[in-house]
Amino acid sequence: MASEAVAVKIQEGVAVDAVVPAASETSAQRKILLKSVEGEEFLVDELFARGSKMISNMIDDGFTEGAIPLPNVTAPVLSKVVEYWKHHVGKSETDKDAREFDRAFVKDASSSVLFDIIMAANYLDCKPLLDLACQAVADAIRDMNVEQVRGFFGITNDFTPEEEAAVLEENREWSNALTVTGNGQKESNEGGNIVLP
Amino acid sequence: MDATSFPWELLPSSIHEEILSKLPISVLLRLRSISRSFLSSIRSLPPSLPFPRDPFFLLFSSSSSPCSISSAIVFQPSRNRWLSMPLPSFPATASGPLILLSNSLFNPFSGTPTPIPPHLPMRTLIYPLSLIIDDDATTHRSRLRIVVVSTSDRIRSQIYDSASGSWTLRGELPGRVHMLGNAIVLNGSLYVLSFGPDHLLKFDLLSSDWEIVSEVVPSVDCAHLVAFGGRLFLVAGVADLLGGMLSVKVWEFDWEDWKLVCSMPDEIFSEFSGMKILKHFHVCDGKGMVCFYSYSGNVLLILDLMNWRWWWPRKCPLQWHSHPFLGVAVEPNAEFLR
Repeated sequence: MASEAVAVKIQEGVAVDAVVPAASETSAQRKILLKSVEGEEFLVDELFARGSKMISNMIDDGFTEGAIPLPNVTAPVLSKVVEYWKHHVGKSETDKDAREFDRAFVKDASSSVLFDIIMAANYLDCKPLLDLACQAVADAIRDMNVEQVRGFFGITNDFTPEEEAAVLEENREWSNALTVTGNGQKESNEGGNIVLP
Repeated sequence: MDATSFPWELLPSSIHEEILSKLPISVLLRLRSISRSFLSSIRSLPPSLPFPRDPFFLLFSSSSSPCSISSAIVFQPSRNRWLSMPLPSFPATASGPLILLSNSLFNPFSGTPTPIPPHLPMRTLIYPLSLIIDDDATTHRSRLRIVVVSTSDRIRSQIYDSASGSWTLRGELPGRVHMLGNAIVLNGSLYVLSFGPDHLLKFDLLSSDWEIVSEVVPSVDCAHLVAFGGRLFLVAGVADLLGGMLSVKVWEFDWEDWKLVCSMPDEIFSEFSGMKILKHFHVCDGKGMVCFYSYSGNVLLILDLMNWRWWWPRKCPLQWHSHPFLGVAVEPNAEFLR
């Protein structure tokens, strides 16, 4: 079937998926135009765009003309979100490719990327992506000690020494990692055997 | 706020909750000392959130004397590490964060005991069957029930209910049994195996009625019942005529029959039995993780019912060869975060 390229108002740096034939496709494969904060436009299958509850509601409310502006999302982040939708929307929860995508997605994401993804997924109301990114953050900090978590999140300790001691005291009783050998001598911790503060 | 590529304080509190609720409670307890607002965020997490499972297995007494105990040697699967926890006396059973001792409840995370009134006298030896904790999400209060039994010419049970603060004699099943195994809670009832005769029994916690659910049970040794995901499993060893274990298997009771669902792989069984004749092993479980221990192999093994994976825990730094096996699992309560 011959397909015609659609004349789309493309700006520099727009995502590759914008350049697709659309004229011969049925209404079920309608495209939605999304505009990032920089003004870059992304042409996305309506099916995928509905991966965002916010966008889905706007479409249902009759927002059909022009581009949907997303002033809270930058182009690089929107590009990643669209990638996520393409691998997940319409697929089953146990889809192997989707899970493989998630694994790679999380593995390569820096903490600043994760931050941006979380803010975008929250704004766009895309719960599965929000869960994925939040789980990645939780996994990153799970084995960190208190100082490391403070550094990761940029949090300053504002406890007074007395307050801090009181909180630590509550943990002391049961959080003693076992580092004693059979004959009672203390050993240094094996790698991975984290001693709690 | 210090420079970071992940500024926590710029996130809305709903996102704080999303991230924190994906951490085990034991980690959240540690992170309380980060800052005042972080502590406040942790304290305001609704306890009903689905925190990741994080059981702690109290496996051995730290003292080799069978009469005294002051602390337990504990394994925490989520961190693959060993620690010690206070324990003032030998545990009977446990649920959630609480351990049932001879005349009190003990929370090893807070170190605080709660006395319970003595049970009503019964003619023969009484032993505890189960501790049941029901958390009321709306009132944030826990209802505790303890079921103890005596077996002579019949099974007689007694229940303690924290709602009334007292014990009542309720429930009876005629017929002699040689022994009862461990009890599990499923769908508002207790299930327990009897030995001699080998039956699956059920005690309805609401009506206090005992009944025999199944008169047929696989012919096994070292039987242990496990409840997980609304399903009832039997974990046990299959022995030859001389009592030497040939394998360890898991059956599921589908409310009619026992179906074999899993067997310990041969190479794992060889290592578990320590290349010796295995006559006995201990089992305990928590949140779908089943812990196996054999004194003859001096080795610990875990089966995770969530993915049917067998794995070897990191070796314990302590030699426990002569230490009594305890076999209870506890998990910190989200209420504890407050």
